[in-house]
Amino acid sequence: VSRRLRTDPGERVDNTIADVRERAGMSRNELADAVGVHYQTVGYLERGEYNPSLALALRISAVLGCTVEELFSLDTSDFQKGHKQ
Amino acid sequence: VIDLGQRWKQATERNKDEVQRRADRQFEDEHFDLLRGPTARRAVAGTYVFVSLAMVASWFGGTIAGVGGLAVWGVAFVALRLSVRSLADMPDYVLDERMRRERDTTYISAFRMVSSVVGIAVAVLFVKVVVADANDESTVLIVNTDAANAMFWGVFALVLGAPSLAMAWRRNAVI
Repeated sequence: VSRRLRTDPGERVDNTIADVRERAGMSRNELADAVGVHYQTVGYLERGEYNPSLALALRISAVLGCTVEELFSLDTSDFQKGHKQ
Repeated sequence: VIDLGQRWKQATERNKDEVQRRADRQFEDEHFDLLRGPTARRAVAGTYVFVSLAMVASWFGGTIAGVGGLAVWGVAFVALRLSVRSLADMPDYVLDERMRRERDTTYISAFRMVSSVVGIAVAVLFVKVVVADANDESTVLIVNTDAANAMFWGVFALVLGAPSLAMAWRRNAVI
């Protein structure tokens, strides 16, 4: 399941943290402790309600054993639609 | 020989540990979750504004009424801070990056709030002194004890409560 966060008009960041974390067999608390944030912050990240810094994104990807690109992707479809109009 | 530098450093570390412990307690607290939903936070913020104004007015009823108003304001202030887990007043080292962003965003709103209230108050004073009494060479403002108390505690409540008030009012704040 991919969840979205609106950052700039027309730009959204999708993430798959919840899926990758569950596949890795980690709880939110364990991931939070491993990357040095509060466990609630992991929930906000997974729901797409908070967009992490680059450093935090890199820490999460290192802990989950994948690349940043596997966890986060930029959805620019709305942005492109806006430009076409 | 007492090494003041070393003692200061130790005291600073002890203080940081204590602040961290208090912050952890606040983050884990579930007793006051009733105050922490978006609507409940707004209700607490509205109550704080009302109680603060009432407290300022109470000083014009004499010292006893003023102190009574201050006691009620204290309760509203504690409720306000509980509703936002005191996040608005916590230092960097106890917050993660999301919490720091929330706090910093709140401070922009709090600054606007305080500067607006102070700006309006000064503008009203300016109109009263310079515009309304333009024919007088000088205008004397008489501030008695009640008025001085009302002004002092009003500014006190505004400055102390503004960060938590701004955070409580933001419906999309993530606390």
